Amino acid sequence: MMLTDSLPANDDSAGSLSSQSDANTAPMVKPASPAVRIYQTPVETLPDDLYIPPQAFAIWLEQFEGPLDFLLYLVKKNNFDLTDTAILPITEQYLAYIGELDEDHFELAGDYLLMASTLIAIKSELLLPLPETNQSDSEARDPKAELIARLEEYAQIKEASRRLDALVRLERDVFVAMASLPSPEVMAAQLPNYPATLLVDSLLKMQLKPDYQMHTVKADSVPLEDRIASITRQLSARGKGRFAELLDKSQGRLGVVVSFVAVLELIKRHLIVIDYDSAATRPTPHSPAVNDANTIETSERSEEDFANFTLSELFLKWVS
Amino acid sequence: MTTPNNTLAPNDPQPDALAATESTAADAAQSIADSHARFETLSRYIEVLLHASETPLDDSQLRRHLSLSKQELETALLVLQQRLSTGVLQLNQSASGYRLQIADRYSRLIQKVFPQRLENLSQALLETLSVIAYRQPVTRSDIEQIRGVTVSSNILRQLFDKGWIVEKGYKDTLGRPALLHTTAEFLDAFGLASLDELPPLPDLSALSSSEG
Repeated sequence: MMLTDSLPANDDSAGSLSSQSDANTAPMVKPASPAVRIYQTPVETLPDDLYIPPQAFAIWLEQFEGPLDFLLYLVKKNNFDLTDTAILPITEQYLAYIGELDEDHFELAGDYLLMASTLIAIKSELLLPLPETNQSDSEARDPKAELIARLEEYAQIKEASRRLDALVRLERDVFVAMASLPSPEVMAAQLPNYPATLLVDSLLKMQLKPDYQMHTVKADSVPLEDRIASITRQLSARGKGRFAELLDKSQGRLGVVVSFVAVLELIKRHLIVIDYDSAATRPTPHSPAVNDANTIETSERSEEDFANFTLSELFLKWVS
Repeated sequence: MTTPNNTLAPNDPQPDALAATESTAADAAQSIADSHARFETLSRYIEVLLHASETPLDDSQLRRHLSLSKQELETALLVLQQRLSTGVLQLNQSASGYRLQIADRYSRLIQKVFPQRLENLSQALLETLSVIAYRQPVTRSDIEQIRGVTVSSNILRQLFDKGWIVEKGYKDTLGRPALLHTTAEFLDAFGLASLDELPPLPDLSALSSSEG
């Protein structure tokens, strides 16, 4: 409303007065005909005093694709040549229309208001006399020419979009033939058959796998209990003996290890003891403390003594 | 003509064979029949592949799948076209290859029976698409400049969803905005073999004089 009121109606453009009245009536009557055909429908047919709510104007404005479209409409409505448009009357009309927008529809009008301000700027420049100091014509910005150039470009694109729409289009004018693939039964028949238990089996396998790796159980080829019993029997009968004499040669290396564990077990049970005296009496080049054997405690023997110690020479004594 | 040429196209005349003795002529006739049967089978393979494929198949794909030479494929396609002419389908070559579509003469029937299948594009969408098609590559702000309206993200999403436009590269200006291009699917949808086939942009002077 402010914009309309502020416009001076004193420009000398010929069509301005009549088009001004067009501008004021057109938005009022347009929404009355719902099937809007903006280029054909005569807008002067309805009475001038017909009240149209402001919302209706917003609806009417939505028929346009924006301010350029709207301007183009005004240009054509006034039968102006696009390339030689008198910008002033168009500006008047445009602003008159926009003035009808009430405050509730500013969100719709954002683009339109931007254009309105551009138009006002152009109009101001046209109304004001050019400053004579401005000599560089080629460099000077010509907002009117720019606007017309934009209008032309938009008109071109709008027409191009109409031609694009007129092309034979898939799924509107022509249709792709859609053959379904063979039925699921046929497709399935060609696939190898998998047993239903396959999944369960693989699941079980997956769960069992870690267990296999953790427990590699092997049967004892030399049971510890047998060795304990055998050594107990031999020593209890003979009183004492060398470790080597207690072995069963057929059991090999493992037999030696298990026998040693059996000896340790018997020592722990206080059934036998290591007879250091008998061991010490045997002459070995690496045992210089031979004579001291009686007086020296086991715990005090040096590391070197144990290093030179031979397991098979170990003397064991039955004590119980 | 002691060794009949099996790969000869069925339509090719064989003047040598005609001029030859009776027995070799019979051989030649047999070879023509064999060759005809072969291309008949090939045309069926092509039809099956086009039916089963969700996207059009181009020359090189068909040739690779069926191990055909360029000449063989052409012949097989001709046979297919001939065979289809008695049915309701037609072979169509679009930007991304061959596709089978329902013959044009039945479009009206489909439009009448399945009106919900028809898709009318809004003016805003068509204008946006036109700017991209004719001025590509463009940024969003280029579209806004030409149309004078803020670009609706909804419209762009529709165009992306249809696969008609893609973002490819960036304009070397402030903010490096993405550049929009049209795709082969766009050409397919509008029945164009290439962008050169777009309807020519209207001449400005013609535009203002014819509609002014």
